[in-house]
Amino acid sequence: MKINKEKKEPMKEKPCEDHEYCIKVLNLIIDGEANEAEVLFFNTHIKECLACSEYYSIEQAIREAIKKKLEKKEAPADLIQELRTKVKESTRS
Amino acid sequence: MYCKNSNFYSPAEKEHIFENEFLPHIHSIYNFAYRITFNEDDAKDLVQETYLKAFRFIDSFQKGTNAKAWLFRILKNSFINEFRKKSKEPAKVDYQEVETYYNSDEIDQPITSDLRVEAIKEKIGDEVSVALNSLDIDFRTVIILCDLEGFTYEEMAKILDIPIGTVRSRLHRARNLLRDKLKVYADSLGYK
Repeated sequence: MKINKEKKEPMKEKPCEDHEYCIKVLNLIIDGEANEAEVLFFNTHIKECLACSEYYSIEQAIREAIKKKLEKKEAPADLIQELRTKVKESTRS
Repeated sequence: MYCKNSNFYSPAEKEHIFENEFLPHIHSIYNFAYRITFNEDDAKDLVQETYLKAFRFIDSFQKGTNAKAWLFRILKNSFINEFRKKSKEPAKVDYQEVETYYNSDEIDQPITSDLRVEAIKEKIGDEVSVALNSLDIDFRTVIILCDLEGFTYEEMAKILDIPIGTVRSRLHRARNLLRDKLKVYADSLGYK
């Protein structure tokens, strides 16, 4: 998405009537939880609204950062071993 | 959670389920435990308790169903019952303040330059962990369950014992808070 910075005019001409509603729908869409009507509304709207398309782009980047940048702690091997031993003991007692 | 009827598994079947349906999720469970306790020993205790409890009640688990959600639910209950009381929690969010802010016009002000969007996108990666950890535990939990673990809203509702509408609104607030923290960070670096 490019913007003509010299003219300082918004690229998109139809800003939201209800930005808070748009954000709700946008999150449902990214989470894969939106219904057909919400998807249809948003796909039409996002092409025309700069605020929403930017919001969408940042939200996606945040989701991606959570998936990629968060350190994944792994369960210690001794814990796994201990659990296996306890389970075996309990089924054999 | 997914099955009201009890099964009667043989000891061998129990071990098989434990090994093949429960243990494959142990890293996700441990990671979640760590992210809610911020302490490796507490996380270890919590995971141990979760798995032993899961095994004890294995007859109420229907083989081949959603073991991951079932384990997360047990973990959540164990945490509330025993750990939450003794573990130190990070600073609480002032709900009133948050709601006032998000009901104000400030939130509606759009970000207006592409340059800024790109800058924020570039920088949030570095700061996302700190920002997430600073959220109140209920908000942190829904973000982790949804974004990191990929649970659906319906699964989250079952894990957390809350209506699906509450999942939706809690997530919405959590995302606003997280975004706000990351935005403050980006601003502090001079991307305005």
